[in-house]
Amino acid sequence: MIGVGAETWLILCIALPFTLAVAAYVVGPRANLYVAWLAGLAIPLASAGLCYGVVTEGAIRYAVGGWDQPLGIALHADVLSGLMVLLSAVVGLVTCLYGHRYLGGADDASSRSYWPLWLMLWGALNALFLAGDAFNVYVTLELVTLASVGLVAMTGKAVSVRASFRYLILALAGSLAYLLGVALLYAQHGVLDLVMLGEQLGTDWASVAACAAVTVGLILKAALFPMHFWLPAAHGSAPAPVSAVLSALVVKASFYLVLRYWLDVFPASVTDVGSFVLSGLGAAAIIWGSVQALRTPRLKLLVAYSTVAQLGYLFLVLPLLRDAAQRDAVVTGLICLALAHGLAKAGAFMAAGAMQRVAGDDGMHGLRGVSVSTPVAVFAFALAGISLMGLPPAGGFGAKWVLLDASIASDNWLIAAIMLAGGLLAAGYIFRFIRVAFHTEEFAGSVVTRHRTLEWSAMALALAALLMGFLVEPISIWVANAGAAGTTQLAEVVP
Amino acid sequence: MTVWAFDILALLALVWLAWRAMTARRIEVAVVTFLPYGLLMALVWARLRAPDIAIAEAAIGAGLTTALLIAAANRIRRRSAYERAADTAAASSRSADARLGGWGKQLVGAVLACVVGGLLAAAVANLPAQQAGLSPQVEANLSDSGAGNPVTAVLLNFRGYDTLLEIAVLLLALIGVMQLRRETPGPVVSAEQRHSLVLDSLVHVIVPLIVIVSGYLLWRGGDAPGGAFQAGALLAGAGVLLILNKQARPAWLSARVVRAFVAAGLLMFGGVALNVMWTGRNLLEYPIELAKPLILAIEAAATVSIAVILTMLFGGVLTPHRAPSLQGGAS
Repeated sequence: MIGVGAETWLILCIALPFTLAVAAYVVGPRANLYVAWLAGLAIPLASAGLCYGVVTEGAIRYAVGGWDQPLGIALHADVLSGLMVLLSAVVGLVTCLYGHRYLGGADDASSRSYWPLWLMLWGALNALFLAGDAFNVYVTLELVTLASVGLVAMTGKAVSVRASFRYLILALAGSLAYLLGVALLYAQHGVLDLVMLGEQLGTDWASVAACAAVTVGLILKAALFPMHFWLPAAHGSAPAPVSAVLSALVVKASFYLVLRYWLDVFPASVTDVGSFVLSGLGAAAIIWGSVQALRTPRLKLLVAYSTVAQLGYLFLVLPLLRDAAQRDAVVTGLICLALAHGLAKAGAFMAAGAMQRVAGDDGMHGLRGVSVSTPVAVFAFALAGISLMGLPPAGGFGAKWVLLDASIASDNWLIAAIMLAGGLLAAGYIFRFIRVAFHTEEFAGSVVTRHRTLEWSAMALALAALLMGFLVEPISIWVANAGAAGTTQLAEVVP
Repeated sequence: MTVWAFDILALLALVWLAWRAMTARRIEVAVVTFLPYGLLMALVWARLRAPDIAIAEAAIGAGLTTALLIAAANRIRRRSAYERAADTAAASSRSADARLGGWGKQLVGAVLACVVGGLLAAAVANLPAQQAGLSPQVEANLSDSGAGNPVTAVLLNFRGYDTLLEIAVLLLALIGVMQLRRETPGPVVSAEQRHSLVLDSLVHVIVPLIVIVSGYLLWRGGDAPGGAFQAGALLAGAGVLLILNKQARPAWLSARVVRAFVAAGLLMFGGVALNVMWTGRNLLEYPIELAKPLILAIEAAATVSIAVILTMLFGGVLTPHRAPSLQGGAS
């Protein structure tokens, strides 16, 4: 963008949310309105600027403090991290709107800590996506975890406090495993910069152990089956804007790190066994999560179990990365799937929140005939469902198409079959709710109160997920260009 | 020889204390075991020639964490008799099958721990014996960092970005805790204890001393072991004492002023980090001639914030200005 370099946008993406969070904390609830508007406008602008810069000028490396690596910390932005920052920006913008309306005015006690926590989470996510240093990643992971735990516990209800505590313990275990891996890496190679580590790692015992520790820590946080058991309770009991952010962005952050490590740091150390174990867990997650979503009695739990299933796809296709010919296609597919799921899932949770508002509860039984009262939200839920099922023209379709193509091209028929089966199961649980929503019985909740902002926020995200399908082509070009330029290794360090 | 004997004894005692703390039946015993564990840990760090970590471990690990644990144990003990009765009933109704399942779980856990521990030991045994890491680079650039103590140079300059985010972690932890602690009062001090002559005179002597020592730790941190984290943790000890003594909060210390103190470290650090960019430098790139005063300013603000945050984690804010006592009548 004109006049301002991509490096400045990079810093703003991290600095703006933290600054606004501190302002919201010190000034208190009176500042909520201004903070919401400023954050919703300024942070997406900076994110778009960064993304534009990365796509047009290639990857950026930024030496914090002016110290060269390995002594200092590098920030690193490429197509992958740029698009994740952009996803946070889109979901974050709508969340600011939705959250301000959903949590009510400044007097609401439970919303007192929402803005500081949520903006810190936004900043932490951006810092995580842009981190280029193994230990710095750990610090950002801690920030993301603590902010998420605080948000889950925000209402102070016994259910959500218990869910948040369980989440905290699990996430801390994940952090420790990750830190153990980083300690092994540093003890062996004496550097923490991800690019430098990637150049030095081999197939020796310590490297493989470090790879295993880092991956185990991250999949605990990414809620991969069977480590998913904390997710439905935490995501289902949080207020709707929080659930949306947790499902759309927070678990994606851990997946992003798995992908980043496997692409840039561990390619030499990952074993076939390891990648197939993760793939098998991904397959189990798709089946298990979908089956649970078909059975659960609550709408928000349905959406949360759908997250467990959709995360499964991201791990299912990891073995395809080992085939150099398919690498670009798989990376494109994974990025698109992460983006499409993020948008669709945030939309689905926001729609569920709007329906919960009129029905007073998110039990499936009480939501019978809810389409009378919140037609827009039900429509948004269905549109988001199209992307989750993977029907054209939604983003979910484009992403799965690319991945199916890659798995068939590399003769992994089983992976292709599981992906198709997962789509059918997703159709099952989406239609399960649609059937409830259009039930002809009299709707028990309020038909008068409308929450237009809530409903249309959900709609905006669902539409974005639908239109994401048209971005698959450009993203594949950007990924291919970045791959041709040697992405990370050749990028110059900013003086 | 004596040193060897000390090391072996310290390690054995460390493992034993950790085991006792984990397996103690009563939560008070576990908490009290944790205190010597932390102190011994500080000694072990000192033996590993990591004096900065030793001071931090003594102040935070042994001192403040124990205070937090005691406060938490106190609250758990104060649970209503009804809840405890329900727990006992649930425990006694547990069948033999469930107990067998518990043993099975423990067995699986033990096997898993052995496998993971073995794999880790193998990985550690495979590590290169001589890996200097980044120490040579830190030494080479120390003169440009504005700090004579390599640890401070790494924390505040070379890897200042990590520390900046760590201070945000502290703030997040505080927000998370405070939102759950809405109306509950701090740790209980009974009416007789509150006006105890011993506690009063102790506070009058110790608090000013702590302030001086923590200022010294902060100042010396530039060139010797010490710094903002240690100084802040020590100062928080003074805060805990004031809370225990039910010190009245001065009138000017409103909730918003407290929040400003809490955020001061992050604001100062972030402000410096961003403002150096006006002259075309990178984030956190201090001008060499200004590095020392900037680091000192950041550390001073961070000390205040760390102290206030840790104190508030222990017991909320000080009791309001001349508010009537809530707990006094009950005892």
